[in-house]
Amino acid sequence: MREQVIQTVKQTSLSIIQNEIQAVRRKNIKKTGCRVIENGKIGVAGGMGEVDCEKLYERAQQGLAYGIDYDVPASINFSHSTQLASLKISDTELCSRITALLNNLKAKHPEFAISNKVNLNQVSLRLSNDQGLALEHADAYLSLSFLLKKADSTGIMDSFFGLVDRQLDEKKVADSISEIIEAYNNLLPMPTADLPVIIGQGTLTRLFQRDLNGKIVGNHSSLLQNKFGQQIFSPDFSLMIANDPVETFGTAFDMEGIVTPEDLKWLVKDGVLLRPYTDKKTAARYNFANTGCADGNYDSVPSLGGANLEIVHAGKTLAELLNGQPGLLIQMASGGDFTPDGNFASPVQVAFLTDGHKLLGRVPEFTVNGSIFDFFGSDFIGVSSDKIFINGNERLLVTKLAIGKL
Amino acid sequence: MYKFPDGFYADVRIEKVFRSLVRIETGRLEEVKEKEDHGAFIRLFDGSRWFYASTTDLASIDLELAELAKLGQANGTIAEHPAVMRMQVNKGEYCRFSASSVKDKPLQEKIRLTESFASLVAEDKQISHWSAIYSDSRVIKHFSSSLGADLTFDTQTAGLRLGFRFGSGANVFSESWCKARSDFNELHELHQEARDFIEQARDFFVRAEKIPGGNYTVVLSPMAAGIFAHESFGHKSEADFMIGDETMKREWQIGRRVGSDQLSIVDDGNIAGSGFTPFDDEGTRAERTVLIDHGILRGRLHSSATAAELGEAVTGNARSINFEYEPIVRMTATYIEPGNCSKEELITGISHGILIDSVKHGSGMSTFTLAPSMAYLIENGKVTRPVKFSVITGNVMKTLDQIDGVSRELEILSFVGGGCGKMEQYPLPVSFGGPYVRVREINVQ
Repeated sequence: MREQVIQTVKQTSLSIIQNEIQAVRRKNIKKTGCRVIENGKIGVAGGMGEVDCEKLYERAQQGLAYGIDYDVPASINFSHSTQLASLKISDTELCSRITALLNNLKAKHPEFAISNKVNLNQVSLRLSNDQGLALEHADAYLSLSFLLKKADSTGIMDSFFGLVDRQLDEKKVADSISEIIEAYNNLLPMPTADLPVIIGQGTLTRLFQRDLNGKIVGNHSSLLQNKFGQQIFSPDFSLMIANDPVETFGTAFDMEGIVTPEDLKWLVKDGVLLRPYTDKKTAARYNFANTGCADGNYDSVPSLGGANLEIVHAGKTLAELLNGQPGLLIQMASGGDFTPDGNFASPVQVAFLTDGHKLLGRVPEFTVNGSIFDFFGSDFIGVSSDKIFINGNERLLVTKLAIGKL
Repeated sequence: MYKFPDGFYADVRIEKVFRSLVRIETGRLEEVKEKEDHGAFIRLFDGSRWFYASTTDLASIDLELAELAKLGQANGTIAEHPAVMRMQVNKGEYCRFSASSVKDKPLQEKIRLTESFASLVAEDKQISHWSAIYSDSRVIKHFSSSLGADLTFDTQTAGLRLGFRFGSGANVFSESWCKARSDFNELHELHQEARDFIEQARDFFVRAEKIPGGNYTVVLSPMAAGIFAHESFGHKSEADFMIGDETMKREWQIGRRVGSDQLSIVDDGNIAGSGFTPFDDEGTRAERTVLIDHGILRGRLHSSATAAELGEAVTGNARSINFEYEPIVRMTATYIEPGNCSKEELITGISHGILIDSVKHGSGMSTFTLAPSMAYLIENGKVTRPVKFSVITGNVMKTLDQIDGVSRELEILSFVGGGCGKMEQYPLPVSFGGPYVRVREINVQ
C-alpha cells in the first residue's frame, strides 16, 4: 500500500520590537512524505518543495529492507475534510492593522513596550492512500505572541499576551492587554486566605502525557499502572482527547488517518481512569483500544507521541467556579516539574488576583505545590466554560495548590 | 551571483542539510530515516525595516529578491547604515567535515551502533521502558551578500540518546544519557561511559530518598552549571532584548559587577560540538565572547542590528534554527570558566548540602529553576546518599553573587535530539558546561 502526506505552510510573520514592526517574513513551504506498507513492514521517505513522488516511493520501498514492523490494519475507504481557511488578510492590511493596534497600545500604555511576533498562517495537511483514504485539513489563523515589558523593569519581560484566532479583533486584543497591564501595575499584598488557584490546564495535565502514554502503560511503568477502572480523581474530573479542529487549531485525524471515535476519547470519566492513549501499533502490541493519537513528521514512521488532552468543563464560568471569592490566576510559572510519584512544584513568576470577571491586581512571586491525586481529586473545582484571553484562548483550570514563599 | 537590488542591503543563505535517524524502542526497531533537503533564506534591508523570504525553490531566489525589494524603500545611503557597516565580507570555503561526513557512513553501521547501545539496557530486568536513538546532521551553508560576501562552511553533529525508566507504579525513575560528537567514529568509545551512567541511575532508583525543602549549599555538576549559565545568564546576554530599552542599557552597562569574583562566563562558537558555529547566519566569524570576567560584565552577544544599536562589535551570534527562519541573537557554546580548586575541595567545606549531578530541565528569567534528576546529599564534607526533590530555585542575580567556589575541571557537553528554544525558534543546537560550582543558600523545593 502507498500512503502520502502533503503538508503546506504559507506564513507572513511580523517581528515586533518596542511596538514597531521591525521585519516582515514570508514563507511558503511544501513538504511531502511517502510511505510504502507491505507484508507488515513500513518504509518512509520525504522531501521539501516540488518533489518527484515516484522517487520518494522508490526510496520508501527500499526502506522496507530495514524491517520496521507495521503490522496493523490499514485505514481504508474513509474521507474527511475540514475547511477553516476563511481568514483573508493581505500582508499590507495585516501590517497596517497591527501597526495601528501597537500605536494605540503605546499611546494608552507608554510605560509598556510590546515585542515578539504576529504570524498569519495558512496551513494544510493531506493524508491519502491508494485504498480510499482521503483526509484533508485546511486552516487559516493568526497567532499573536506579545511580550510585555515595563519601561523601568530590568527583566527581559514582565508579562505576556498570547492569542490564536481566526479573526483579528483589535478591540478584544487591546482590551485584554490593557487589563493585563493595569493589573500588573497594581501590586497587591499576597492574600492570607487560602484561595483557589487558576492555571492553564497543560501545566498540570502534562503528567498524563507521560503516564497515560500507551507504551508506558503497556510496559508497566506508569504511575497510574494499577489504577485503571478505579475512581482515583474527583467525580467532576473528566479528561478527553481533544480533536475538534475549530477548538484545537489542529487536525481531526491523526497521522495514521484515524479520527478518534467518540467513546474512546475519554481517558478519565467522572474521576474513573479508563484507558491510555494509543496509536495503531501500541494498541495492537498491548491489546488496548486505538484512540487515534499517532504523531510524527510528514516523513516519519507514524508513532505514538503526545496527545492533545483537555479537561472537560461542566458549564460554569470562571466567576461561577470561584463562587464569589477571588482566585489567584497564574500567568507565568516557568521551571516547575513533577516528581515520579505525582507531586508537582513550581515557582510562579507572574500571577493576578481575579474575581472571575476581571483582573484585580498582581500579587508577588510565590511557589505552588501539590499532588495530582489532590488537585484533580478532592481539591478539584472545575474548568471554566468561558475562555480567558491571557495566555491564549483557553479554558482555565481552577483547583487548590499549597502556596509558599519564593 | 544573484541580482541584488540597488538601494538595499541583501543576503542569501542556502542550506544543504543531510540528516539521519535510527530509533529503537524496547527492543524493536521503530524508525530508520535518511534525508537530504535544501532551502534558502533571503534577507533585504532598506535601513528601517527588514524583509525576509524562505523558499525551497533555489531557482526563484532572484525573483524573491525582486519581490522583497517592492516591499521596501530604496535607500541610496544604505551602505552607511551602522548595521550594514558591521556586516563582515568573508569569502572562501571553510568546510571541516567533508572527509568525515556522516552522510558517507552507511545506515547499517548507524543501526549497528544504535543496537550496541540498546544492548546496554535491553536485557535489564529493572528497566521497564527504554529507547535508543541515534541522530546526525551535516549542514553545508553558502552565504552571499550584496556587499560581496561569498562564504561556504559546514557544521556536523552525530550523537546518541538512551532513555530508560526503572520500576513501575509510583516507584519509577526516568533518566537519559545523551552524548554528541562531531566525528561519528568517536561514538564507538562511549559504551563504558553509558554503562557507568546506567549503573549510577540504578543506584539512584534503589536508594534515593526524599529530603525536606529549605536552603542548602549546592554544588552544581558541569551539566547543571552549564544549564544554569545558559538559562540564567546566557539569555540575558543576548542583546536583542536591549534594543530601544534605555533601562536595560543602563542596567547592563559593561563594567558593572553582576556576580561573585569567582564567576566568569564565556560564549564561543569555535568550540567543537553541538554549539559549533564557525560563521553565523549573517556571515560573521565566530568570536570568543567573555560575558562575565570575575564577576564583572564584559560583553554580550550580538547580531549586526543589535551591535549597531548599542555601538558595539558583532560577535557571530546571529543564528537561526534552519532556512525557514531569520537569524536572531542566540548562544553557541556557553560555559563557566574553571577555577583553581578540586571538586573534592569544594565539597569538603560543606557540612550540609546537595550535589546536583544530572538535570532534567532548567529555566531562568528573574527567577531561575533547575529540576534535578540525580542529586546527592553532602554531609560533613562528604557525598553520602542519593536524594529526591522537585526543583531548586532562586533569584538569578542574587545567586550569581552567591557562587563561592569553582573547580578546575571543565566539561563542555554536546547533545542531539533537542536544543535551545527562543520564541518560535526551537530547537537550536547549542552546547554548554563548566566546572563544578558551589553556590550558597539555594532554595530547595
